[in-house]
Amino acid sequence: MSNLLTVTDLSMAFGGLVAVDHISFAVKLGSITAMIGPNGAGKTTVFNCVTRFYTPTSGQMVLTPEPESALDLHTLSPYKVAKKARVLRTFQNIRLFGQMSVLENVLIGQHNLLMRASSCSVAGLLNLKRYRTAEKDAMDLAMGWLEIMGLTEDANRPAASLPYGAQRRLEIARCLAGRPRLLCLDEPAAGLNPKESLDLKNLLKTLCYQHGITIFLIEHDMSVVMEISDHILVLDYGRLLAQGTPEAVRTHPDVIRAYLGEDAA
Amino acid sequence: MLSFLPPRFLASSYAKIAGWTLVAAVILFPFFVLQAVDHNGQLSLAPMTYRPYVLAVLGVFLGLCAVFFLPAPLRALGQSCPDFAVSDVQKKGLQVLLVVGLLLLPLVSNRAELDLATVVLLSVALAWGMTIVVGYAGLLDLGYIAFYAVGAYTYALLSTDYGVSFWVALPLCALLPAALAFCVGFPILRLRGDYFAIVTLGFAEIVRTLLINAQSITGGPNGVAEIPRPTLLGWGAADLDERMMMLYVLALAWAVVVYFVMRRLRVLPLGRAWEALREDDIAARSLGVNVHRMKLSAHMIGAMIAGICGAFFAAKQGFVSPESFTFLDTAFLLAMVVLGGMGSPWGVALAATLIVALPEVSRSFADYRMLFFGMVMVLVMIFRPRGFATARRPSVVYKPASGEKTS
Ligand SMILES: Nc1ncnc2c1ncn2[C@@H]1O[C@H](COP(=O)(O)OP(=O)(O)OP(=O)(O)O)[C@@H](O)[C@H]1O
Ligand SMILES: [Mg+2]
Repeated sequence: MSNLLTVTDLSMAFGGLVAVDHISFAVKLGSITAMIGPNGAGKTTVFNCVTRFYTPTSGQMVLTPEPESALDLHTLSPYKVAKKARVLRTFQNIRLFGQMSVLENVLIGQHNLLMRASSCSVAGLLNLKRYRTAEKDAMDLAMGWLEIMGLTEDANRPAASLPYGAQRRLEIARCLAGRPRLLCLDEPAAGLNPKESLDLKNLLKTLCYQHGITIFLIEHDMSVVMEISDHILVLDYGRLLAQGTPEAVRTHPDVIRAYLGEDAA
Repeated sequence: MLSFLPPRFLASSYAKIAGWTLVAAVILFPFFVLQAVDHNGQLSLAPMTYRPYVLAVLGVFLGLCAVFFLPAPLRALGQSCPDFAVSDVQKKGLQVLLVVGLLLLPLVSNRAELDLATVVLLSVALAWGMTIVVGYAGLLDLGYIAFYAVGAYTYALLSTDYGVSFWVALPLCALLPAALAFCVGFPILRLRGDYFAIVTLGFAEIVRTLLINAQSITGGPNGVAEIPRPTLLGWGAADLDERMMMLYVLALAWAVVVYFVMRRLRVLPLGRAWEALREDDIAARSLGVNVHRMKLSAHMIGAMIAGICGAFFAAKQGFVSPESFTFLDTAFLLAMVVLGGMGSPWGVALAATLIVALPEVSRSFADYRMLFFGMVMVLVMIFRPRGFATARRPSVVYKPASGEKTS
């Protein structure tokens, strides 16, 4: 398998605080990669750098969707990371368009496609056939993902009125509508009950192995991480403590020390 | 800070009323009382109009008194005041009724009434334009009136100085405000929302001061008079009645155009993106929405609508002066948008009609307009914090049985 995302020597400092300290890793195409680590280890900061919400202090981030084409994420502004590179993300604290309906939320995921179809609103204002077809296709795609997420019934409800677990799923559906090459999920299992957590595991496997979407996730729930990931990165104080298969990481002495304290080692 | 006061007093309604009245008095002070004025060519901040200020604060005070001392049953009634929930059929009926009424109006009304109706229609169109900026995109534009002013002066000056006809000048009255909106918005819309509010406030004040001071071009405080009235294919020049009729028809047509454009934009990807960035611009950006460009487009489209409204205003009045474009006018527009319920065209139209027409209907009411205003604002904020029309309609609706359908 080739590397989809290659990060080399990434650092991010906030004033004196070095949140991410010279880390290098790769996310393989068509795999599930997880990033774990204690609170404040710098996991979300890595996501923010990759999606260009932050400009890293140093380092390279390259996306290689096809062998012959490479995109330097450094040169893209945040919205272009989503539009051109199609790296889409969810947030640790869910960010939905609360007053808008569930379906509208998912349609925003297809914003650029629909904008083009409506010729920046000209074809849309005139209600040309071209735009109507594109809108219908977008609705079908959106409803397709909502069905997979079990949200068909809620399509017309305001997003903010959904229960917590459904909000998490909606946030993922919204990304999926944007046809992601790399899907970055920031603690997708946080706050879910055991049943929802199990469903999430199956969902992520389906997305990766049936829909071919490469997944990069941050997670605290070890049962989720160990079961579904192909590759695990362990972060501690901004440094990459260890990486490898779940088996290798589980038995890595540094990881045991960091997670269970000095005595356990 | 106020701990020297007895706790029983601090917890009482009296303290709350006094406190909130004080807050209102402080917040309103700079807007009403401090205005840039011209002192023999020198610009200075000078206390201008105490009366509206005092009345507005008094209104807030009375509104608060009403809220706190209302008998419990009345209060409950206010709080449970139902939504104006009308079914689609009723809505269609009301709309048809309204359009027929508006078309018949010129036949049954006298000159003064027709003139008022024209003013109301233009104000509604202007408030709708501001709804796009403030209600949809969530940009607090405190200088919206400046684009109205630019549109009005563009037509006024082009027609009086260069003899350009109304219909030729009209596109320019849209393009010039849009260009200005671009220049102001491009750098500022990258920053946080608060900066936008402050900068637009300053921008409007700059425009007004320029209009006052560029005496040789704009006529200064005296304004521009004898602006030629437009004609429509030769119609509207015969006598006063015909002219007023034509102005009314133009204003009505323009309001209808704005209505359809804003309704249509809302259900397009552009309008959805506006609402999305109002809800959460970080999430919108993470999904590939060019937030800066979307904000700029809302700002510019709003400015275009304001510019054309301004041109109609200048054409209707035949006279423009800087006095018509103060911050107070923006505040009234903002009140229409907020009272109407952010983003609801009918709510905004109702609020605009009330705010514009009531003072005209009764002169004595006009004197106490600010009093009434402060009071209503307090009552609405308490009882209907989201405006007259509270329910948001989704831009698309999924209909399971018969497949999907766009609304
Ligand atoms: N914008 C910022 N400005 C200053 N410091 C920041 C900023 N963002 C993150 N940090 C700091 O960087 C460090 C890493 O934060 P980060 O959010 O990446 O941790 P995390 O691994 O995601 O933790 P958690 O598991 O709690 O989500 C923290 O010490 C945090 O305070
Ligand atoms: Mg985090």
